[in-house]
Amino acid sequence: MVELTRLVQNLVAGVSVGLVYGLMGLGVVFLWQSINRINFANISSAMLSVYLFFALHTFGGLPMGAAAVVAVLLVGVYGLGLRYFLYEPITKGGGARLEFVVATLMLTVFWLTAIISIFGGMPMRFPPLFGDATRLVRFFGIGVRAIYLYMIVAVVVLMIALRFLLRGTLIGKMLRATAQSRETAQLMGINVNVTTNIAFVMATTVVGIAGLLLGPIFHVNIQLGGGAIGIKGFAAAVMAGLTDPFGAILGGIVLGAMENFSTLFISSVYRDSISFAIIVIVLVARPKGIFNWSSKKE
Amino acid sequence: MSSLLAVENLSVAYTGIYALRSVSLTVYDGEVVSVLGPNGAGKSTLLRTISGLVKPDAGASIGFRNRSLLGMAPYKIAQQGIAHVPEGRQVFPDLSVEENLEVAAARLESSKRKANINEVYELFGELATRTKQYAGSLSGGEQQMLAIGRALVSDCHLMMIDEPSMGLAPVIVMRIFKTLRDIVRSRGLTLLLVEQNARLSLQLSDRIYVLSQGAVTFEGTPEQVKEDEQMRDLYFAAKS
Repeated sequence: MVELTRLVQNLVAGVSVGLVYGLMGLGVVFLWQSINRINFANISSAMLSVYLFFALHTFGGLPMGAAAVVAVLLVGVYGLGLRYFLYEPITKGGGARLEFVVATLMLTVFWLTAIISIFGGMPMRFPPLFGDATRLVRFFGIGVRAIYLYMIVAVVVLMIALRFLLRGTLIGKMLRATAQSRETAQLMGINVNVTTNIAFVMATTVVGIAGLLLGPIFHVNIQLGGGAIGIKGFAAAVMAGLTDPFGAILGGIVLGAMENFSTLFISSVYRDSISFAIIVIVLVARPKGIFNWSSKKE
Repeated sequence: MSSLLAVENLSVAYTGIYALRSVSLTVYDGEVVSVLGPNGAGKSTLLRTISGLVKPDAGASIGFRNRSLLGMAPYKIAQQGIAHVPEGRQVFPDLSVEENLEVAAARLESSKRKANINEVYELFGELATRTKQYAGSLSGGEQQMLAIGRALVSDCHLMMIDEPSMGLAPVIVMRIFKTLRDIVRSRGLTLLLVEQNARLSLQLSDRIYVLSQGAVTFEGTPEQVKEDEQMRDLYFAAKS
């Protein structure tokens, strides 16, 4: 019999890691909505931001805070690179979704191999960006690791900020208009060139931030980019149905909680196998997303 | 009188099949010009080419206020003061009514934008009571009002409307056309209208072009259309 304290601890851990998976998923949904393309290269953003942060701090001598900010900014620039060196040439050359998906997948593999060549494949210690991440914070007698609280606060704050941007500002409304119909947006005088750039930068930036939040748990680890972890962010988005950026967060929570409980009740050895098996089952059972209850026609 | 919009020798080919064949068309300031023609005559392509969504073949010229629109990005063309109300209305379904209007007036100052939006609400009371509703949940007639509203809030000089009557009940169509007439009169707006409904278009228009298989086959005033036997047979035979 598992005691209540451990259940709650696992729930908190699962939900907070899930929130960050959801944040990665949000980056996927963002690009899907804006350019109607699945972008596997965005998965590398989490790994790139963590390795950039690590290198800038450890080898570049930057203070941790500055290293984190520069790393996230560089990952934002990476988003622009994805647009101008991948998306635009492929689209201009007549390539469609499949070509784009394959190209972004190859780019992800390229980053993985490049990182292994430079840093080696073994995980390295993540500099204590969030202080002592394993420190226990007590709530009603239940100890929760500090990093999980950071994750929850960071993702919630980011969600509120993103929601405000998309719903409360004119530029956000223009982003949504472009996502819904690029052609009509242009007829309304919206510079879709600018809104597309913003979408690419935002998409990689949120995944980059997600990487840094996962760092204290998964370390400086190539798994963050295309391995088990990166793919989970992706799965969170697809499970949620790719329609609502905030649905991806829910997908992430479900995923995070699920894998934590499978660790608790079964074994951590099978954690990833169980997670991915469930993802496949969910996708087969509800191809349009678990949260898609509406019978609304497309 | 100088022309507001001057289209000359416009040809558009989709994979070898001509959608438009050396079309020339002039719209003067303050005029209502209708382009009539059956399905597939190239009417929508004409508007889409003026908007910059479709690239014409070499040799064409499109001038707006004596400035060439050729090679200009569609959003820049819109910013010149040309509002294109596209076929099928194309409201942003997951934006609210108000947000649809806001993004269409995004480049105006915020006080001007609000004033323009309020004017549209006065014009179309249905929209005023549904400002927070998603545009996708509006009826077809309301969506058409919103689509026209989006053009109006942009402070456009030339409004191009593609088949405003499409899929709407006759009573709604009458209402839309009456509003268009009011707008033209009160604002001095110039209108380029593409329609299959010849009767309503004739009532509203100063001049008519008829497109057939991508080429202009008739050009004249509504009176000339009614006098022309062939035109009369084509457009009014069934109803007389």
